[in-house]
Amino acid sequence: MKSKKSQNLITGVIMFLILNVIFFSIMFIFVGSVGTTGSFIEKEYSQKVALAIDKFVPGTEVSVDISELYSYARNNNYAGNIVNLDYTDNKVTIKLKNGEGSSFYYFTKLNPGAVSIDEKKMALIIKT
Amino acid sequence: MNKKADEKYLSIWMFLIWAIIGVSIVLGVLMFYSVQGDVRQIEAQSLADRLSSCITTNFNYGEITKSDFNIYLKCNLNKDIFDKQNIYYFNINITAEQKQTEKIISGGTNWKTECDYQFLRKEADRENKFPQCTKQDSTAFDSTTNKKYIVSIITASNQK
Repeated sequence: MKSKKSQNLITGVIMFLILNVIFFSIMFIFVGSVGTTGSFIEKEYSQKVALAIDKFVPGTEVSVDISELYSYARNNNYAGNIVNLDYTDNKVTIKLKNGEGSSFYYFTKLNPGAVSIDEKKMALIIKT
Repeated sequence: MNKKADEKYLSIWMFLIWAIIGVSIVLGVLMFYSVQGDVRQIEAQSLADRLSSCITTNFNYGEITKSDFNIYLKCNLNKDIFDKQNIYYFNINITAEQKQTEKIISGGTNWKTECDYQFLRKEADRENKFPQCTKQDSTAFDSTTNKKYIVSIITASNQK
């Protein structure tokens, strides 16, 4: 009787520990992956590109490394335009999958074609 | 007997505690990333830098006070984004050092009150409803008249 009681107790403790490990593993995976999800990366890069356009004085040429975006787009099987510039509405849109993507406005007046992509270097060339 | 052991370690309270911990972690992480992604202060500073640089370089008070002076053209800014989107604001106050002559140029959504409130509190209000403001004062020298001017620029951004 005593042995059965202690066996049940051990089973309960083991179950409790296993559930704890599962729970905290899920939490660790969530915390680790949330910053690298597609939508966060889209938002981060749309802000980064818009800020790069606005930060530098007119006449400057800036190169932004977007190799990370290519690898995310490849993983999502997305073959469309990753970086889209709307020169009329002053808007940068980053898309890593089919959908609307993430957009961010900039205040600098850019000439059409001022932003181009260097496919070889996987870099965005901005001529302010 | 079995129930007692289960109840001790796997009670409904235990699951409730896990749920509370889980929700707290999720909310904490999302809040952290939303604060990290808030670049309104940086944007406002960029706008202030742009305006300050283009106004004080080769400063000419006579040119600025002309009725056809276009700040957007001079500083390479897109007027439409300031007029149509309620995300940017700027106010430039140019005062002669000795005299009280003053020229005010402003654009975008008028957030002067919100900005003055922020400067009064001496800290940026991190609440989402308020735009983030910056203030920049610089001295400009007009070589044509040999006069010094104080250029005071207030900028704000509310792009989230």
